[in-house]
Amino acid sequence: MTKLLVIAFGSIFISNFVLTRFLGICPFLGVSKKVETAVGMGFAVTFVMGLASAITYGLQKLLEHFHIEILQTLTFILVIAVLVQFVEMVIKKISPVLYQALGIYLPLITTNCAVLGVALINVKEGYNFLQAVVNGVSAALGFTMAIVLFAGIRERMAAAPVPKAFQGFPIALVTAGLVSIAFLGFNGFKLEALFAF
Amino acid sequence: MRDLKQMIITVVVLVVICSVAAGTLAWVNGLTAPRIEEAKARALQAALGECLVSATDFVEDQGALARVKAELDGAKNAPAIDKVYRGTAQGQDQGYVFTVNTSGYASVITLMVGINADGQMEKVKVLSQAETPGLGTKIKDEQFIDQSAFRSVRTGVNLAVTKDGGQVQAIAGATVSSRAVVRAINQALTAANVLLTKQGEGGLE
Amino acid sequence: MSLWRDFKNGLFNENPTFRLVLGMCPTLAVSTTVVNGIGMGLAATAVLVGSNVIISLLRNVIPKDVRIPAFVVIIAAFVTIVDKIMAAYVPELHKVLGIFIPLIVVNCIILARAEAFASKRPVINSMMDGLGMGLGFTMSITFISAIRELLGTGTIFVAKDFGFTGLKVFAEELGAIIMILPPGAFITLGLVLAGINWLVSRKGAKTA
Repeated sequence: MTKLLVIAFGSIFISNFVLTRFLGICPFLGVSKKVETAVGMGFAVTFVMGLASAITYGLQKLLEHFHIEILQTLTFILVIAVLVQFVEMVIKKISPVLYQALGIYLPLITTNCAVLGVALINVKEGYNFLQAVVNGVSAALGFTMAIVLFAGIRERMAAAPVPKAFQGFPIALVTAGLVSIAFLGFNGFKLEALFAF
Repeated sequence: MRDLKQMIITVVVLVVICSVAAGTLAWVNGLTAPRIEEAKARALQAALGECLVSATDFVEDQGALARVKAELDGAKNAPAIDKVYRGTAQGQDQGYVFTVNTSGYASVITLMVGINADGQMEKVKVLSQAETPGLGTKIKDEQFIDQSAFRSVRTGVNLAVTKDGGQVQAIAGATVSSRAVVRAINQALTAANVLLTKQGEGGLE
Repeated sequence: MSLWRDFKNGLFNENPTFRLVLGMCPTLAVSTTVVNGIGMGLAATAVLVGSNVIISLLRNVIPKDVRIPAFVVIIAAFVTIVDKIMAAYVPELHKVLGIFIPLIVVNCIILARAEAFASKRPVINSMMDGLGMGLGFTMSITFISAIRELLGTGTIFVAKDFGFTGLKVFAEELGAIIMILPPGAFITLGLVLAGINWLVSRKGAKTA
């Protein structure tokens, strides 16, 4: 239990996917102009990352069993692409309302490096099934938190008189840098001690 | 009919691309896998040799690791001895090299500590760490890791940073990382003490 | 002459990092030292040239509806090859770049060039395009790395693990550590992009 809490807290705050690990920067900058769309993207990513962590865990065991770890990158990316397509179809069928909300973000998730990134990190850290899923979901929640926070700031900024050269990406990146400074404050937490019951 | 033909072509092309890709990768794997293993083994031997200069051959000693684990207190936050290597030269025991995991400021620091048969520490080396760049990462700098307090220490001595009343010069702004290294060295010294004194008693164990 | 144009396009007019704003993740993540930046850039260049050439060769064979999965398989194969070769011959660099090497597979630059260029143009042009785009990426990431390494540590081109002692410009104590921490990456890239926007708009105003 302690280990799971350490993984979850670590992935959300300390090694936040967007702000310290630099994974998922494209959607972070691209889909963060409005809080509403940021929330939608966040939930779509959480769903896919949780599922992808579970499936790639099994896939990795299969690759190891047949000693074909060389195909890791290739199979992981294909499975993620198929998974995203499949999730899109299922959501469309069982909940048209949810599909309306998430639909447009789903295809974008395949090339979100956070998804492949979390699958590779799970393997590298040697997490078991439960730890992998917890890591996937909490990393995605960290992503969601960062993107929603950031969208809130950008909504305010839309009304600010930004110099012409800074409009668009430059001011967004500088702002992200300031948010990232705030997250440095989580560095150095002794999580094992904090969650040792 | 046309649709069917089109579909068959599509499937065949995809299957061919996948098979060629998989085949190429299998070939590349055959070429690189031995070299990757070799590079890893060479890096390990080089690091071991650096930590215990007098020894020429190193073997991983599972028995020694088990003995050390049984003797040392397994407190939750204590640095953990991960592996024990016994160094020999022409069949003579030269000492031990320990790999120790210790929790630093932002990451787990893995160190290699070489202690010779007289219980004198020869060298400590940082194998991996992900401490704060510019602060904690300085544990790798010679100024810290090769300081005289480390080079003169032997079993039975407990090291401490100057802030805690010891001899070790901590890195400015990175006391937590410095203390983590010191704790790991102390743990390795205690472990070496266990192994060396047991041997001195004529192998009672 | 069109070959030269295809090559130059990626370096300047359509520089993937500074003008198209693609491939941000590795640009931000591994730009802590110049050596890491160059290593990452060259790894991506190798993949880009390889995948562009193969995709261009197969451009009339791959059916339209399944081209994206086919491209992804080809790119993933090249990424794995580069990954393994680096692990075998430059293990230290491979360790530092870590998961960002396999992640080249989802780097938007590669798939974008496959779709927009290599799937429509002859092999030689595609190769030059891949080379230009790859070196453009390398140049940008090296530029960002140089700023961060210099301002953060006062040195440049240092990589003790690979035996580069580098060049000391000013005392390390004067360095702003924040530059080599994650926030430094965002802020540096933001300021550089703003600078380039300003230069481009000034140039535009002059010629108009």
